[in-house]
Amino acid sequence: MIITNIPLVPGKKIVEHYGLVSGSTVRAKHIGRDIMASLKNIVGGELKGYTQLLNEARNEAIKRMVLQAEKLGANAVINVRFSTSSITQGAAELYAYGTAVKVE
Amino acid sequence: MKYVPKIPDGDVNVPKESILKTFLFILFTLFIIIYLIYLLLGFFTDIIVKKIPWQYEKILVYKYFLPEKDRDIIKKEKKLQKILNGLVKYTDMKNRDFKVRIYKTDEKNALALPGGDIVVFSGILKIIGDDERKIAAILAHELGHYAHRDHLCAIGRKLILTLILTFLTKTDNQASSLFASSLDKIQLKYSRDQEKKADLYAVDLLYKRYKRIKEMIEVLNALSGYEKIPKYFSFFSTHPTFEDRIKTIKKYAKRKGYRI
Amino acid sequence: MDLYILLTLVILGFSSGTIAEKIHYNSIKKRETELINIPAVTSGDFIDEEKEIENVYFLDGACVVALDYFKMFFAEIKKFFGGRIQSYETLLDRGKREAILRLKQKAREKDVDIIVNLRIETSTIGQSAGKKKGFGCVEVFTYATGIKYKK
Repeated sequence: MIITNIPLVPGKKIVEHYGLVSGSTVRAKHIGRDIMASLKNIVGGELKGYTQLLNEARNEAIKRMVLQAEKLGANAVINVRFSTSSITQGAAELYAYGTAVKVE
Repeated sequence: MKYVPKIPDGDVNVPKESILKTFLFILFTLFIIIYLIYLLLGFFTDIIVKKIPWQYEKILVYKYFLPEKDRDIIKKEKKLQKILNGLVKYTDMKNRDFKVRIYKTDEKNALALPGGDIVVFSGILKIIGDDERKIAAILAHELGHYAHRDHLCAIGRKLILTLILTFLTKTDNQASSLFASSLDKIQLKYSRDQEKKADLYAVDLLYKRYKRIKEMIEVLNALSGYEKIPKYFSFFSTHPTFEDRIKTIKKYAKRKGYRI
Repeated sequence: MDLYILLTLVILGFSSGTIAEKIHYNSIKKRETELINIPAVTSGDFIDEEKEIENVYFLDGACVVALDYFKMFFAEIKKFFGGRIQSYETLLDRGKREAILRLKQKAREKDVDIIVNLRIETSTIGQSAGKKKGFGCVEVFTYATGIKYKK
């Protein structure tokens, strides 16, 4: 599966397109991580727990989007965009969407 | 390029498993975890508290003031003190000094404060009158709390409860308040057990002192008329119902062969 | 007493929420099938250059979704353990699909042939959920350009 964030797949010609595909997830870390994060707030720096959380969530969203594209018979998703929303604290809501296409 | 209309499978973004099942499962697990933490910590407080020497307990106590007393109350206090001293001789707490204080209020209760101050509310004295043995029943019950170090255990447990709750309510949400109130219920159960134990201690003590425990039951009977909580809500109360307490005492007396 | 109010709200939220969700999903799936002939893509390169363009429209669709007590409560206890918060996932999914469908509905009214450069944004209105006061609601906003070819 080819994923790009530009409207084409360089070097390949798009033959068919299937419209919008999307993947989304809402994820949270367990409370221990939250507490560690609030402690880390004192000294600043990278919050490894939350970096990991967001990475996991993003990967999950991409995975679902790709799954949707595969079910349509596509072999590439182009022009992928991400969107985040904050419906609750301490959780990551990630949404990935793109156009499912078939390339040569 | 041409468009091929196909309906994307939207279900990939929707959880497959039943939400209710997951919900009940995590709710149950969480309750058990919190309950276990509480039990474990409570168990340790009980052990630690029993090891705190009597002298230190007095240091722990914050100094408090009771309002000015009139001559009547001072006279009554002296009388109660005499009864108390008579009781203490029969316990294994002879080296501790207990003081009786009367607090003027309509509340029908008595308290065992850390440090050895027994506060008797004048409301309760009004009901039970001047009978020495009846007053002794109340004092014996409070001495029971001291013998089991209940006042310290209660403080220790409350402390742990507060700690767990602060930890939970860090997120400041409804779920935490649910756990808070359920923990409170557990705490109340513990409190009721303490009261029962203190009652039984009082029965033993009264029997040693007066060779009869009839007054203890009479006092509880008299107080039961003033019961504030309806019977079915005893789950939410710090004390068992008077009816329950009398039943427990009668059963205990029968087993021990005390004359009622 | 607070406990009982909370429990009632949770049960109420669960029962009514589940029914409403089922109805909503059925309606979403029906409309998605109806509107499948209008392609929606995320880039502008899908415009057929051989055809003459008659008109260009700016299209948008919005949907505000709010939590019920069950969903909120579920999320709050799930947060102790971490992992996926299933109750929010369905809610956001519904919101998004509804917003896209509204956009497509507008496109059909204007007889649009292709929707290009679709974008989806979300924003929180009021307070985010998880606080004692205020309730969580999220607005999903979609916008795109609709192209109508000359026939």
